[in-house]
Amino acid sequence: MTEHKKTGFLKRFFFSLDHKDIGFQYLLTAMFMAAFGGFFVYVFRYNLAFGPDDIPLYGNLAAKEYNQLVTNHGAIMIFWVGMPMVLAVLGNFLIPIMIGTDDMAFPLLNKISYWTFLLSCIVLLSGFLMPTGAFGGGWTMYPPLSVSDFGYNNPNTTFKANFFTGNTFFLMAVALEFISMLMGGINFIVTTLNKRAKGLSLMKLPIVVWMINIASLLFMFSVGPLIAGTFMLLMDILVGTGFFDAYRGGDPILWQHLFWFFGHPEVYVLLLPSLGVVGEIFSTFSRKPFFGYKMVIFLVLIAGILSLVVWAHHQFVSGIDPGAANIFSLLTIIISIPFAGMVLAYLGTLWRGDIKFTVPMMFALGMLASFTFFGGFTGLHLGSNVFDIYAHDTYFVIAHFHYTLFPSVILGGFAAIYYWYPKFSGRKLNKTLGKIHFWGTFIFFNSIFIPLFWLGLQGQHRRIFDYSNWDKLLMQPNHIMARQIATVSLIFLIITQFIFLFNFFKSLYKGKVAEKNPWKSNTLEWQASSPPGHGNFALYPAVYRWPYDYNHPDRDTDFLPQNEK
Amino acid sequence: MTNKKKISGLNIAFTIIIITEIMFFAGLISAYIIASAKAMDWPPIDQPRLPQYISISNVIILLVSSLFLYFFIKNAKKGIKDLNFLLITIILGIVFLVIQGKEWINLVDFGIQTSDGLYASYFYSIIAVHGIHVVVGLILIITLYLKLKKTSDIYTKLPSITAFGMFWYFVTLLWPVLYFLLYLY
Ligand code: HEM
Ligand SMILES: [Cu+2]
Repeated sequence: MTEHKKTGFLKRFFFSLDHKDIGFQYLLTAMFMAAFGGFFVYVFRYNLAFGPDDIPLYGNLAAKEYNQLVTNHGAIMIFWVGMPMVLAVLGNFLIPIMIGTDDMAFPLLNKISYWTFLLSCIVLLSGFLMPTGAFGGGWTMYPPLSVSDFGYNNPNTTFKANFFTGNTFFLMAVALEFISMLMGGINFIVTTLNKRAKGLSLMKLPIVVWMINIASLLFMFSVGPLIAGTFMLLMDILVGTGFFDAYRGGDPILWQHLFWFFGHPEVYVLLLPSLGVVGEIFSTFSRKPFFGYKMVIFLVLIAGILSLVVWAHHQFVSGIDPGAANIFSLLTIIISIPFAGMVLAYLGTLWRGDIKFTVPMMFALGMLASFTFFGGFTGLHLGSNVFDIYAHDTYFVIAHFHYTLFPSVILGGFAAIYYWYPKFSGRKLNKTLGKIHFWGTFIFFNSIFIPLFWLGLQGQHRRIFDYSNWDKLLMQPNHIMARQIATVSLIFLIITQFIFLFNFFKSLYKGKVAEKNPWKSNTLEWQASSPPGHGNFALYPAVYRWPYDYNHPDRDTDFLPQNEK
Repeated sequence: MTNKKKISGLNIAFTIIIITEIMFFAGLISAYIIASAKAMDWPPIDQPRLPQYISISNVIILLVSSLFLYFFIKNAKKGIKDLNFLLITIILGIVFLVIQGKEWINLVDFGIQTSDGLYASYFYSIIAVHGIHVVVGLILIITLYLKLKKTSDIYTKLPSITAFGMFWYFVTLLWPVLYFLLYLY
């Protein structure tokens, strides 16, 4: 295999087909988009706590801008931070090297996928430059809000005027992002099926590779109807069809079905790869075999299938048939059973392990704990239509899904970065800064969202610019204080991230040089040099065992790499 | 993996694409069926009738094109390169597009417009989306044809032959379903 060649940064950034370079591009782009998403949330949270005037770094906030910021915050964090982070970054970095091969099955397609993704970012952000301003109808794009003022509602507009709107650009950006992730997903699955190292059967794959592949499959299976819906919505805006126009016999609820048929599996797409990361880290830092490997894969498959039939739990108050609502409630609640089984298996890995509290381990423990105790647990409550009728569209839901998404994308993402950083940069991150980063992130994350649970139960609705019209209900001193606690915590959370950025970029050049296998782990990537050269391995490895032989009875060392007999 | 009989990556990729496509059309079709079930009159009373009889010839044209593709692939697997079969597939595909395009123009002349209401919205959108798929399928098969003209070794091209073929089968087999729903249902 060829030696690692030194090429200029720009040339490498724009033209390299190497999976590691593309993964790094995705990572930088996702971080760039996260900066936007983070800035938006800072602005609108500041407004909720301290009012819309003189927001530092922003100025005065109008109600319309508030809606635009909320909408784009949600969309960016899910489609332009979450999706690239857990699928594209992890998939690109990890799959080829963990299965012991040199690159993806289709390197060029991989590059095109990144370019499409970058284009989608540009299209989304240029929505802010449109004459009508960016789209502000909520990240779920419900009609009629997402088509009002355009198409059928305004017979006087032209195609061109309808085209250059935030709405059109938002929808096009989402569609492009889907196409990019589809190309990526196809690559992951084909690579995993066709390019595994000699001896690496499916049942010897690291759990994170399984999870990324199942997530990709789930994405590809569920995204079709939403692409159809996006197409129909675009037609409604651009050429004035009436798919979602109740006045002409169309059906706005239809959009909600098409959206959530994708939307619910999508949240698992974001969750599963991150659970895979946590699984790897738990096993490595408990120095114990992964508990219930086959059971976990089986449970994930069941949860994946079930996730395709629970979507209407987002629509309990949209006027769907109450009988159907009961069935969807039941299915939703049933889906917690496989997840409970998985959490149990993960605890089984930790049980009586020789636990090492490294930074990745802390993030992984934080991820599982906050996801389980608050995210999954409140999901169970929301799944019951009896409860959800009251909780729907309140801050209780906001807190619920942030307790699922923040652990999956951010905590899981950081766990992965801290764990694999030595491999892909060849250097180590500073441990102390890492621990400060963890505690800051974890504590402030919780102190943002716990008050929001309470506010939601008090009846505070989401997507409202100004609560002062409800002064008896939501302007009591403790309500105001709860909002302020959340906002101040958010500001601290954002400040904490600068510690990470400093650590990340400084260590790229100045960090301690990392050895080949700093965590004494078993999976194949640790057998390549750090950083791996172009082509990853000097000799293709052959595999003799599964990845979790820690503390094997026949060995003196407490680990046993996959490629040792 | 040591297994010798690996399925080619291209075939896996196209299988996945087609599954996504099936879900895409399933979304569109189920929306259409529900919309028609909810409507009082379907198709709407004042709507001009659609040309059912010319259109059925189009169903046959696409199916026959697939049949010739099937013969071609069957031969290719034995190592026989019979490009005429492929040529017939391409020509029939183009004929389909021409007839379908003419019919569109006729309907627009009759005065059915996308903004007329649900029926026209669905009709035009579904036909257009399928039309785009036919175009994509044709592009794939034409590139295949041009590439095969240059090589004598058909075996190395087998993965793209079967993968692109799979896509064409999908596009042609979808059409009778759409025809039934849009014209007869
Ligand atoms: C135990 C599993 C879960 C159950 C039973 C569950 C249940 C629910 C229910 C019933 C709602 C609708 C609430 C409403 O709008 O009134 C909801 C909202 C949501 N959930 Fe979950 N959930 C679960 C796990 C997850 C996971 C793992 C994620 C993401 C990683 C997630 C992300 C979301 C999001 C983003 C929303 C709100 C979307 C919106 O309206 O903007 N959930 N969940
Ligand atoms: Cu859901």
